[in-house]
Amino acid sequence: MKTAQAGTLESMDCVVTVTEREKGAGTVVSVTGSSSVRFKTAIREKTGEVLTALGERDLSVDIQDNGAIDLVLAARVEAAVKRLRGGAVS
Amino acid sequence: MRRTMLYLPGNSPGMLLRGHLFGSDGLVLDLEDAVALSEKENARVLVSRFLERGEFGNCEVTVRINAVDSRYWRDDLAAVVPWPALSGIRAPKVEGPDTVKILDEELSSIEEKHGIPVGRTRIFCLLESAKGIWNAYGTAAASPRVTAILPGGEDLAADLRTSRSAEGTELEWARRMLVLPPARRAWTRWTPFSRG
Repeated sequence: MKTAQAGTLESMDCVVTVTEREKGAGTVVSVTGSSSVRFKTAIREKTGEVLTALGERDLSVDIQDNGAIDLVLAARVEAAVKRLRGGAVS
Repeated sequence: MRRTMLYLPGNSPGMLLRGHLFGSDGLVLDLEDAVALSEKENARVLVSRFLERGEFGNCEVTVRINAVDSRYWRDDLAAVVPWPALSGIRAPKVEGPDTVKILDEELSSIEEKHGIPVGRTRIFCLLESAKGIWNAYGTAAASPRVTAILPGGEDLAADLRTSRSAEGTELEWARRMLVLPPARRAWTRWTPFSRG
């Protein structure tokens, strides 16, 4: 299974790791980090939104959050997925 | 007015979020030297999302793209040009009018594709070599998009085979060349460093 990562451990950022799952296995999102207790639901929703927009399913997404706002989270998820797929990130 | 410009590394959300709070006239979101090769693509996505939805206060926002001799510059332009928050691009290592024409053509193509008025995106040229300084007039006159020509510091000093001093005398002549009448005539509205 292929894995790709985007982001940093700096504050106001997050590290997003995406791993392929078997076809039909669905997508699972796990969230850890400083804001995970309070914002886990919002982080999951935003991640789902980005994956849907990219037409992605059957992924394992691990997010280590260090206080990223939603546009940073969205950018990191998008970059990680595009890196996983090996296409140009633009 | 363009008295001060704050460069912000394109892959640093913390700096991109807070940059406008420091009161500079302009912000430069940097995809070039401030971003490691392995992070170019991640930075491009991040800067694109910031231009789409970020806050910049009253700062003029430009993006320093990678040089036209790199493999990144076309993707850089495609990611940043569509967003209205962008005022212009900073092109590094401009050596003469040919570089400007290449950029002009690519910018027009992207603007047409996105329904943006052709010519909206300005070009700020960074002249970082002796050749770039020598060709300043042709560079300034190469396209109406050219809003500023800026002499480099470190790279220009290296190309001149000199080193930086506290007084900056080594770059004095190069800087004076940019305000000679030929360069001024290339601009319709001129300020010490740029036109409006």
